[in-house]
Amino acid sequence: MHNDVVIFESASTESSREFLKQAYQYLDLKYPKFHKMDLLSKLGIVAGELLVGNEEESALADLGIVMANRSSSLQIDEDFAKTIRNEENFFPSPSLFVYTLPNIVIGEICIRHKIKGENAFFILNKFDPCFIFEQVKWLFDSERFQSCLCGWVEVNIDGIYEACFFKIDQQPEISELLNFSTENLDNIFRKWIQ
Amino acid sequence: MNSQEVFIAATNVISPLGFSSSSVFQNLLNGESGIEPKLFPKIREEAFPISALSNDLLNETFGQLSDEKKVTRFEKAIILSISDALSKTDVNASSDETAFVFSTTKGNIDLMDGTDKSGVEKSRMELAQMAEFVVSFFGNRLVPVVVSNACISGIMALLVGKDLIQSGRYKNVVVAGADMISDFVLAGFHSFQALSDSPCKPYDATRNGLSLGEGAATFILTAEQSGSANVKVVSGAVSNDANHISGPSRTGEGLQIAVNKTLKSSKVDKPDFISAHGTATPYNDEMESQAFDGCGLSDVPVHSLKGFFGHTLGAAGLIESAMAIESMRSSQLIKSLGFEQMGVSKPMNIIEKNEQVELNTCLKTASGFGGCNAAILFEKDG
Repeated sequence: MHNDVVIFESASTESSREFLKQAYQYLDLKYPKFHKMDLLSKLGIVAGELLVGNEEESALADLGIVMANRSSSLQIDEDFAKTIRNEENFFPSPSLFVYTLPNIVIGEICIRHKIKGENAFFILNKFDPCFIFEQVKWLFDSERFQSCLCGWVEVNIDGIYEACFFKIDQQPEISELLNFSTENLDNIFRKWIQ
Repeated sequence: MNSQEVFIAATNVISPLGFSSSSVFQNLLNGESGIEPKLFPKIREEAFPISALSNDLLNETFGQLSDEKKVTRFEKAIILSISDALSKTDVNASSDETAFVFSTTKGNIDLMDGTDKSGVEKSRMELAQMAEFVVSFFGNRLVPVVVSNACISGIMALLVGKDLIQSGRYKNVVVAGADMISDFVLAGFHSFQALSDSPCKPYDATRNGLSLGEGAATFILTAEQSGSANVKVVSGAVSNDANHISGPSRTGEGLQIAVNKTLKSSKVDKPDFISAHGTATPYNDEMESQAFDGCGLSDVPVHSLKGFFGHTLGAAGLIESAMAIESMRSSQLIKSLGFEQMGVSKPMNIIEKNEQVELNTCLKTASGFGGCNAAILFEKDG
C-alpha cells in the first residue's frame, strides 16, 4: 500500500516471511543481503523502499529516521534465546544476536539508501501519533533535519507484523500532499492498520 | 533558535562502585574498578571479567524503599536510581509537568526464559510495560517513552529529554536507563568474540575486547535553574554510518558528523574534555581516534570509563555522563583506567592520571550496533 494505492497483495494463506519475500521480488530489489535479515529489518526495507526507493542517494544523505514499535526485537530475541536454552545444545548464533536490537532496522535502511542523518528508535505501547508528530516537528524546528522518514514498524513475538511509514518534507515539490499533523498521522494509521 | 535552556538538577548512578553519583565518583578518584571475574558455567568454564551488581545489596536497599515483591532485578536498580536522583531535587515525579524517558537495550529479557525468580508476569519483558510499571511506582500518569537504540540509547534518551523541555512540552524530565548482564547478552557478545579475557583496556595497544557491566543511572532535567542545577545540556546530534550493522566505520565519518553538528549548534569550538565511548574493541577505539582527529579534537583530554564500569550498554551514556557532570562540578579529570600504551593510529590526548583542572564544557560520545553515533555537549552555567 502506497499513498492509498495497493502496490502488491498476496493470498492470505501465505506466511508472513513468504509475503515479504514476494514483495521483495515484486519490487525487484536486487539486494541479496535482504535474505539474511530478520523479519523486522525485512519489513522496514520493503516499507522504506516504497517511500524513498526512487530518490537520488544525494537527496537522502541527511534524511532523518524516527521509528517506533511495541515489541522491540522480541521475535528475534526468542529465536536467539532458543540457541542458548539448553546446555547440551548451546550454540549462540552471532548472526541472530546482531538483530536482537530494534534499531538495527534503521541501520539496514540507512545502509540500503546511504542515509547518514539523525535517527531514533522508540518503544511505545501503541502507535502514538501525538508523540511522533511533536518529536518529528521539534526535530524539524530545531534544524536537526530537513526531511524525515517516520512511522511504525512492528513484529510481535509470534511474527505477526505491521508497518506504516510516512515521508515528511519541509518543502514538498508536490503541493497537493497532506499536511503533517497528528490528525493525519492518526487517520492514515487507523485507516490501514487498525 | 532561541529556545528554553535545560538544566541538570540531579543525577544518580547505581553500580558495583556505589549507589549514588558522589560515592561512585569517589571510587573513580580512588582508581577502583567494578570489574571482577565471575563464572557463567553455562557459557564456558573460565570466568568472565564483568562489573556486576550484588544481588544482596540490591535486594536489601530496595527493601528499605518498598515492600513491593514482584519486581525484577532490572526494575529494582532503575527504581532505586530514579528514587535517589529525585530525592536530591524538588521535582514532583507524579506531576503532569514531569515526563519519564527510559533508556535500555534488553530491559527485563530475563523474563523470557524464566531465569528471573521474582514472579513478575512475562508481559513486562515488553519495554513499554516495564516503563509503565516504573512510572506508576512513582505515581506518574503520563505515557512513558522508551529509547532503545543500542549503545547510544543513554545519550539519545538525554537528547529526547532535552527536546521535551526545549519544545515546551514538559517542565521536568526524568531520564533513566539500565541494563543487566544476562546469559542472553553475555552469550551474544561471547559468540561475537567481542569479550576481553581480562578487564578491558580502552585505547591501549594490547586491548582485545570489551568487558560487560551492569548498572542504572538517572538524570533529572529541568527548565528551571535552581541552586544545584549549574550544568546545562547545550546541544547534541545523532548520525548513522550507513556502512555496517555490527562493525564501526573505518573512517569514523559517522561519529564526525554527530560531533561536528553538536559543536556547530553550540558556541563551543573545543570542549574542555571528552568522555568517549571507548569500548576497548580494536575497531571501535581505532574508529574514535580517526573521528576525533578528523574533527580537530585530537589534543582534547579524553577518557573512556569502561575500565571502571565495563560496557553497561543502554545505561552507559547515562552513567558516563553522570560522571562527566561530577568531573565538571569538582574540577577533576578522571584517568582512563586500563590505558598504558598508545594503541590507536591517530593521536589522542588520553588522560593518564587524575588532575585538578577547571572544566566548563564536556563532549560525551557513543557509537553502537546499527551504525549509530551520538554526541552531547554539557556546559557549566556561569
